[in-house]
Amino acid sequence: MTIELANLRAGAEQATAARSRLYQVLATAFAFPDQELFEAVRDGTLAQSLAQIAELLPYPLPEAIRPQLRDAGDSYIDFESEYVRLFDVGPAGPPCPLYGGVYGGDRMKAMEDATRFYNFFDLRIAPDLRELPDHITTELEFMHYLTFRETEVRQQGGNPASLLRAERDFLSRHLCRWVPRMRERLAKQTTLAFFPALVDFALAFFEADRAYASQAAERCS
Amino acid sequence: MKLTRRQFLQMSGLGIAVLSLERLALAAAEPAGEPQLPAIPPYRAWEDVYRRKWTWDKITKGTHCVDCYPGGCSWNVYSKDGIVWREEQAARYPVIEPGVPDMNPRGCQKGGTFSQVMYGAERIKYPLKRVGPRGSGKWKRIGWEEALAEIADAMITAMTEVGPESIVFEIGPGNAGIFQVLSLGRFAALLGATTLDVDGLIGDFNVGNYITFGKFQHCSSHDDWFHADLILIWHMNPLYTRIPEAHYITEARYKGAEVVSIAPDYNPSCIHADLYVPVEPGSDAALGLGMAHVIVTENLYDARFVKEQTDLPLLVRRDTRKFLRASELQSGGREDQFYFLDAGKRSPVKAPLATLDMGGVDPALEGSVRVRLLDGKEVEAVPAFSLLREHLEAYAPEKAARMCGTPASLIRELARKVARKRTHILVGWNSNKYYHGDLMERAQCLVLALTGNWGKKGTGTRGWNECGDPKHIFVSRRTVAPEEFEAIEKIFSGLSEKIRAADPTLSDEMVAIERERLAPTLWGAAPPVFYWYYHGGYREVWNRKEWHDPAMKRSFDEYLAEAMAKNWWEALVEPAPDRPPQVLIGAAGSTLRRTRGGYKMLLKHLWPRLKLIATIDPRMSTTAMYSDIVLPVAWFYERPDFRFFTPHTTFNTFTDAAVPPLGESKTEWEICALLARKIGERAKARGLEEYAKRRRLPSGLVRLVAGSLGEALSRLSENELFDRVLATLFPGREAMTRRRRFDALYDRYTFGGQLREGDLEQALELFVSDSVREGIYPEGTTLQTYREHGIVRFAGLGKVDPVALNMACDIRPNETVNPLTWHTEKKIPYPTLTRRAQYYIDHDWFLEAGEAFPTYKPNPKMGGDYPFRLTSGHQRWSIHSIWVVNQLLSRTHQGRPTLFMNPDDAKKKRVRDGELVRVWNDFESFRARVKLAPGVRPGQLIMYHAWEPYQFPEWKSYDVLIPGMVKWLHLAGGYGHLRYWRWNWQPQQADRAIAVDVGPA
Repeated sequence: MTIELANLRAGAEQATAARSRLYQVLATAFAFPDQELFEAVRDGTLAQSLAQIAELLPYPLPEAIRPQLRDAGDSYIDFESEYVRLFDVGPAGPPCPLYGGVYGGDRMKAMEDATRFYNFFDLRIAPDLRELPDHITTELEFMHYLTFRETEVRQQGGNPASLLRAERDFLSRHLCRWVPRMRERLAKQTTLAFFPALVDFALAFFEADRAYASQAAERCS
Repeated sequence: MKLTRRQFLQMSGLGIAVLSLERLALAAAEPAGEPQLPAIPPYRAWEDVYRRKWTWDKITKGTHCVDCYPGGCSWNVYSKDGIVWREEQAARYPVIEPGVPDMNPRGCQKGGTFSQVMYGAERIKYPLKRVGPRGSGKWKRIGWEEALAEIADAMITAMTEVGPESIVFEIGPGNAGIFQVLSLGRFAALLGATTLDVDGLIGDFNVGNYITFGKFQHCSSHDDWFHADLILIWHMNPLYTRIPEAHYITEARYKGAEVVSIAPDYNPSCIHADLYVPVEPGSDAALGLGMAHVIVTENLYDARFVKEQTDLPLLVRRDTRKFLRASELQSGGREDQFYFLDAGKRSPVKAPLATLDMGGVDPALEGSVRVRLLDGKEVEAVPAFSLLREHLEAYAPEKAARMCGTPASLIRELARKVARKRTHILVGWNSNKYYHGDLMERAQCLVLALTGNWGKKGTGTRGWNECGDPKHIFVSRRTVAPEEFEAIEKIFSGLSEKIRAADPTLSDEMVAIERERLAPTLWGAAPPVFYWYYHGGYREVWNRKEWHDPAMKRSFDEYLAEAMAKNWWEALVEPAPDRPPQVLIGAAGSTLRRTRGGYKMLLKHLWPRLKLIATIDPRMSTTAMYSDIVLPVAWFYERPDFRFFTPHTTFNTFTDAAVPPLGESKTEWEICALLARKIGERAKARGLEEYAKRRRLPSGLVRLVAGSLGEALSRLSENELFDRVLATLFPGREAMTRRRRFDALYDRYTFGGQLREGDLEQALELFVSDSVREGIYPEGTTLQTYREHGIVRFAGLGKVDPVALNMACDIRPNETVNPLTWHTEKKIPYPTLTRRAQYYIDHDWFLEAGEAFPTYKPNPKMGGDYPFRLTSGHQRWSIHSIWVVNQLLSRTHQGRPTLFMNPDDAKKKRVRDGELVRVWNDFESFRARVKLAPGVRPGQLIMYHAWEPYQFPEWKSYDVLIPGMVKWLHLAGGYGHLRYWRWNWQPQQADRAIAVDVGPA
């Protein structure tokens, strides 16, 4: 499903749209990499895209943009198999699964909590995708949705407080909770520089965005 | 238009925002046209998302088709948004027999956490292809088309260059619904591939039980335990392994039954017993024979039962120690006609062949008679019981006590209890995993025979039983037409008639077994022992005489050569030495974990020979990690299927597709259909039309039709003979022909295109209707019946499957099930050489080994001369390895492989609790953390089953130092019931009482 909002005004509307787009780009970057994504990493398209969007954010993220975001190695096969090894498949699971629920606590509760957020905002897991609610890409897509709706509300002159609070809480309860733990596990792996760099970028963004959403929610309340 | 990733990343435009959802969707159905986003609800804090009541999209019935025995617990499965969130015991089991507790609720903590397992990080969701060396963990995701093409290409090459027998299927029980087995089994049979016998692979064949009864697949229903007055828990740990059924032990105890636990260690079931009987690991035969000594010498035995039901009244020659046979007494006399000593006339009289009814004769159990043979020689013959009495002299309680470590007074007490009480022995699958487990089970069965303890409620022993489904119909069907059922039944009954015509004294059960013995040739089933010997590197290990029983007089090779020369394993050695395996298809069995010593032996010897290893599994097992292609498969809540049918529960259990398969997983039914089609396509592209299956025609099959082929027989070439024999016995069954077309595979697999890859539901409906036709389920039972109730109780066990007939009892609607009553009540013979429960085996090899009677032999030093004995058993927290990495269950125990050790031993070895220790022998070593437990017997080490090798340092699990010895005696054949048939008579690897030492790592 695709919906466009046009004629966004500079300032809060465009800044919120940038946040939304960054969640969307990160969902793409964390999804299983096809050849195109590999090329986009190698030739800097992804890093450039992240940098361009970061400039539009309502807070700075300059140190998060690193040259390692281009380090995809020399071959797609190696890049792909490294993604599979780190995030997808391995004995007793991969070393750094991209499912939030596996990082402590009750897995089903984590999935339920995410699903309750999705359901609250009248969303559900896409029936034909067969991916789980606590996967990083699903959670990023939800944040993309919330921030898109926030852009929409702002454009319509409404009060985005509900969305901001939800963004704050979802980040706190999910992405900001488990991605740092995943990063710790990733630190124990010898791997292409791209993957830790991507996670670091994402983490910096999550933290900054949580702080922003929290403060903005306060202001709007 | 969908953007590519690059286009997407390059998208710019400050003035626009684009919402794009792939993983999430609007909860409300989107109306046609422009999608409308829902209103934004007011949100204050996270508690708001918990205010709306949680509802289920649906509640379906489920079960877990895993290698749990008996399993078959019915659950309610709760799903929402395509996710299964929880399960709960359905608890819909009705009262069967008034006064006997029902089976509710059934289910344990494993079943209750399966929804977590299915979403575990170890789940495989996409087809994978190895891009690094095997085992390197370097994979790429591939599409199904590519994966199927890779496998199809390797199979076609194997079929054309070596033969279809070089494709080996290990159909493991890790994902084993009936349709998993049937799909893979049907496909493998149509290919002409080799399917390794699952009992031989796992080691779940109760050898001693089989030697005694000519079958081991008989068991009482769990609720029948309630009827026992004395329950001997002997080689079982039900508090770990029979959690849903253990309440019957407690309830029997409330009713007044006495519970005795016999084990080397004071295991978790012992605390629920009235009496704990300690025994040295592997010495149970001495305990049983000590009890038998007491029962015989104190005249506590049930003479009528012994005379009627066992071979003990049969006459045995003193000179040769062999049964007296009619062939020795009269010209043309039968080899399998044996004699009683008539107590009145004091002369030999023929034991009836077609019945156990003694017909007014009172066979003597003692005494002797002189008999003149055909050649004029006069010999002395005595009832086997007399010899048994002599044999038991070595097992007077004081002597037996020295062998088994059980006090003599306790042996006496136990024997007197069994003689007095309605006794049931609870045996798991532990005894048969000892090298001399056959002797232990034979001794147990002897105690029961002497005391008349089977064939009535609350008595007996147990093996397994898996019947009650018309497998033969489903695998043989060419079309879905109802008349096809009749046609197949006709073929089977035709075969039966021919077998019976050759020997009218055979019982229905014996006829069915003989018919089954012809089947491996056609379906490609093979005992794995030869596969391991010729291709797995075990020849060298099994020839280490010092690791065998010292009574083994010749080398393993010599025994094997004799067995081959005598054609005892005719047409069963597959893949043949000259046609080595090329492709291994592992279906949720994990051969590298399961095969004893396999991680060492198979990786070294078999793996380099295999051109392709494909694993079809829902989870990343150790074997999957070492495969070339991994295919993700739907798990228990993602496909409709049935649990193995077993009279243990007497209910057949259904599991429904609560949610779609995760990721790109598919069912085995679909995978096999797609693979069949792909083979046709790829062969056509290579210009190949047909391939040939090697002739494997056992002489038994030829004999069956020799008469109808007439004089033509001698003029036929070997190929012509093969084709003619099969055409005569199985008219129109292309699946059994020698030459097969690549492009016909898909058509055959899909019943002539009538049940295609997407038609699993219809296949299940066909299966249910065939089951009803067979009389297994009540009239009117449909798939919908299962869907609503989750369980359906057997109405019968079926008339064709020999395993069903092995139960030898009727299923009554309002009674517990107790097997073997056809023998005890209807006097129908047992399927043994002597047609009686057989305690004396006069096979040359058994005589040579000193095992004609059950006897006690110490554990061989498997692994070398080391002081500790490593034993095992199923653990509490996992069914095999399926749950071993589950986070939730791992938090309820140490969550890692743990070696249990007696504290006194630990002190001597300077080992502390929790320390990493090394365990070693001459074969291998492994390391694990130690748990000190006073319940462990000194000299014993316990490593519960079945951790994944990858959970140990260097991926070397405890399995790695198990040499996987097989007892040479089990290669014996050519003797009544000592001949292979599906799941029965074959060597299997020993894994208990392995000789090891231990110390700090």
